[in-house]
Amino acid sequence: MRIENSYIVTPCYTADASGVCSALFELGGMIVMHDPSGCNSTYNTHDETRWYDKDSLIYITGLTEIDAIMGNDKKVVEDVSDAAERLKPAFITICGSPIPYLNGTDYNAIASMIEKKTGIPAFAVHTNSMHDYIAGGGAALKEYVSCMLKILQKKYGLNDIRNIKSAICDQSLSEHDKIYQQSSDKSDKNNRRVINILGASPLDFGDFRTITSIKQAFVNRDIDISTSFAFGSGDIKNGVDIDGILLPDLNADVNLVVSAMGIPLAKYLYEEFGTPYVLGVPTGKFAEVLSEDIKRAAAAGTCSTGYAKNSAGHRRKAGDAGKLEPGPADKADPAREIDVAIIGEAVTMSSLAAAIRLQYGCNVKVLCPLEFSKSALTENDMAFKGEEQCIELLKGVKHVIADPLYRPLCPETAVFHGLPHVAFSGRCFIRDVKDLVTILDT
Amino acid sequence: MEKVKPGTREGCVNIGDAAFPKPFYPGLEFNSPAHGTWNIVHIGMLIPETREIFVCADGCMRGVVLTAAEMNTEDRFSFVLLDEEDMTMSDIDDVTIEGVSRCLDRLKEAGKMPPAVLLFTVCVHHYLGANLDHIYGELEKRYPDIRFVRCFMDCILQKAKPAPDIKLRAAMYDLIEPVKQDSTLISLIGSELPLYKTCDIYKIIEIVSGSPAANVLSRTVNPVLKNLPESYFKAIEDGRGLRPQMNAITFKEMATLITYEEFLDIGKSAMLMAVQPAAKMALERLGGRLGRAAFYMPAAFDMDTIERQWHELADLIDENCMGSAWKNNGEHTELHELMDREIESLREDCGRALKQALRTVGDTEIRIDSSFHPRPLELAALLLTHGFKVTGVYTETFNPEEEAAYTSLRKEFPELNIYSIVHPEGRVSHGNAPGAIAIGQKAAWFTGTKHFVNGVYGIGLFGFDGIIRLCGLMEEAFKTEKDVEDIIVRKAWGCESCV
Repeated sequence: MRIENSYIVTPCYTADASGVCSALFELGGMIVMHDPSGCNSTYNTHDETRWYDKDSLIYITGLTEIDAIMGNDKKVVEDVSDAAERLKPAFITICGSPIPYLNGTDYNAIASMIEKKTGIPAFAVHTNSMHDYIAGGGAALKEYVSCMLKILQKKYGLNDIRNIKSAICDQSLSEHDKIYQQSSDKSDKNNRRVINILGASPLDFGDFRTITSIKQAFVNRDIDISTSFAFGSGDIKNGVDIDGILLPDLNADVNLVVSAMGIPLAKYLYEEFGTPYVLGVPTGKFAEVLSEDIKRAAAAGTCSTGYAKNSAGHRRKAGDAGKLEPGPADKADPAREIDVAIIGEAVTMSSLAAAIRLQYGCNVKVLCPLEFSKSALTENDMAFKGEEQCIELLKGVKHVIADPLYRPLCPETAVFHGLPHVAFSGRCFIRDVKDLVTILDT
Repeated sequence: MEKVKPGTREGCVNIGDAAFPKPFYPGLEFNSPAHGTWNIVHIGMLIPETREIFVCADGCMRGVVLTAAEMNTEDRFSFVLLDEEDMTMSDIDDVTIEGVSRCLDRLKEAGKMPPAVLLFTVCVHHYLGANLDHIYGELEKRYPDIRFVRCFMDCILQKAKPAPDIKLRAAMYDLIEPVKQDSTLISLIGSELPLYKTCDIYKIIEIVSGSPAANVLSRTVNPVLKNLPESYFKAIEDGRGLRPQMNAITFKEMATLITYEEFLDIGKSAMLMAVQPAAKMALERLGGRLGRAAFYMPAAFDMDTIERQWHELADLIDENCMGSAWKNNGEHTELHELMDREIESLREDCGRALKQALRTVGDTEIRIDSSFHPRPLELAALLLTHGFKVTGVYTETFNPEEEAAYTSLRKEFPELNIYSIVHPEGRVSHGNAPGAIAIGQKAAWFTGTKHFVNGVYGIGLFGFDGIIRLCGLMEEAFKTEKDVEDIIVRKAWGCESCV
């Protein structure tokens, strides 16, 4: 028996299907969860803080026992097509839940049939509600961009998808001019770098002001933000409109991955277009380090984990996106007693850890309970699963920074600092969610 | 009943053209941001001191575990997550038994063993053919001091068989043992919310027993019901004394129980009652098992129905709690005459309240939704026949108990709109009647009005008193605006919420 699956006091993170919906919420599509009931209610109640104010076409199929047993996929195709013909979405995404997973439902075939029937681009994201939002949201962003680029490739009659960048260059570069004009710092245009933010969603950035704060953190450091794909805020757009399709800026110099949810797309864009990516959020004093990393990445075409060289001294090497190699600085000491343990999403919390190290000189360890995040963690940090392992890892720690619902796992001897995380506690502490860029300023 | 035609694929249909009981084709579904109805976590938490344990995948777990967190009962909630390996490479029975055992062993170490566990299995257990007898039997063997209740979150079955909340309401009372009967005790089961103490049931008890009904609460209700409006308590204070008196009948409501022991005391009831359709299965099961009188008295808006219920309940109370003291030559003639005088007076009161409300709201458009009350058609019929401008009812299916109201409305008001509450177009076509008075949270969201009567499951309104109170609430809604978003996004109306 695996004890890590039994919980008596903490909740679970939101699941892959919610990650899909959250990641694609603002892109004008229709997202359908193949599920009997509950997935949509759970998502819009606990995970989607935009639900009341912003309409987005997110549905469940209302799967019944008889349709599941008989494999009645025809009904799914007809129902989705009927709704799509009424509502004219920009695209259709279908993802799943446990029973369709057990059935071996062929989502790709369903998407293909829907696309054929409606003429609307359709693609599948293979979720089963047994993984966390990082997995679902990450796959959704990557599949969406991949699907849309194929459409553009066909439209422009290109043999190689890599040629899209030059085909749409005028549209995208005119956006760059606008960004430059809007920039408050009129330094030499050639020195400025344009980036996309990838992976942001309300699940990790419950305080929407964080996106604007990211812009502010870079504005005097010769870095401009083209898009926050696909979660815009303030004057930051959620995508560049290319022939009616919202996409990250393909002519950006660097993609800044602010949550592990953005990693699959960042890797895809690196592999297809050579756009380097950097992992990190410009939290507190870490903003300066991250800025330099972005500029280095832009200049050399290398990918990096911005916070890695500030923890166990590792950084990424170009062309080897999945592995880490030793970097120049190693300011943390794994052998030292842990001053601060931070529990949460890998990229945001690692950035916070880096900022704390710079600001306070503490020994900080990030504990990440989310799947598919190992590549975003440094060697100094740790992935874990379940309450009991978490309790063990927190023994002897002096300070714990985590969502308030982790408090019962915190040792009595430690000081607990609540940092609400929507992907974990939903809207329970929504009024106390912090701006992850300015969190250490006060 | 002749079916008019199959459910429409449109999101709105005139009642004259609507099929019964399913006016809409079951296609894709959206979910509105109105969350005032209770789910299985809220309902289960009404049994004091117990613990809920769910066994399911992350996606299904998320909604229930955060329900518990939002109502500040996370210390009464545990769970076991299922993953692909559990479903495809393991024995689902063993995974469930061992996972639940691990939770209970840890609770034992922490000194938090509950007297009973509401163990929820899910669609996957059903689909994989889990042996529930083995699962529950093994757990009962391992933990003999704990009672295990068979609960389900098998949503895949809910369109063809009783929904999980209905099965839960029935299963909860499996904990009740048939202990020695107390002839002065009547228990209302299966209701999440307490009734107003001025409502017809309390009046009937008073007439039959000769003294006001005692109730186990004053301002105290079940610990999870911390957000009941002040009007509930005001009604208690305004009403007649509730202190137990000699020979008085005690009317126990599920929503007023504070301890597990009080819950078990339902087993002493001389008579059981339910007023919600979702509690009918629970009533029949518990009544049959205990061998006690069980009376289903659904909240209604049709005055003839209410009048009939008065007489039926009075007879049953006399027979089961009063030793047939009112019976003379096998008849309840004197009691019924007494009832009729009271009913006549209350009918007149209802008429006056309806006229007064109509004077206030005039020809303002009114829309009703089925989350507010299980009989929205009867309510629409009542208001339409008294001159109100009801233009729409939001419901996905018709309550089978409303067939008479459906037939009457089709004949008298065939243009009345019936709106789906899950149709895909509803996601973008809301906010189209901002000047309306909405009765219910979903109606408030769909119309976009700020003038609405807030509440779910009839909010303790019952009988003639319920009609009079509702008239007052409609007038209040007409005169005052509410912060709709702040109110309706909270789960479980009346329940504690940290949101």
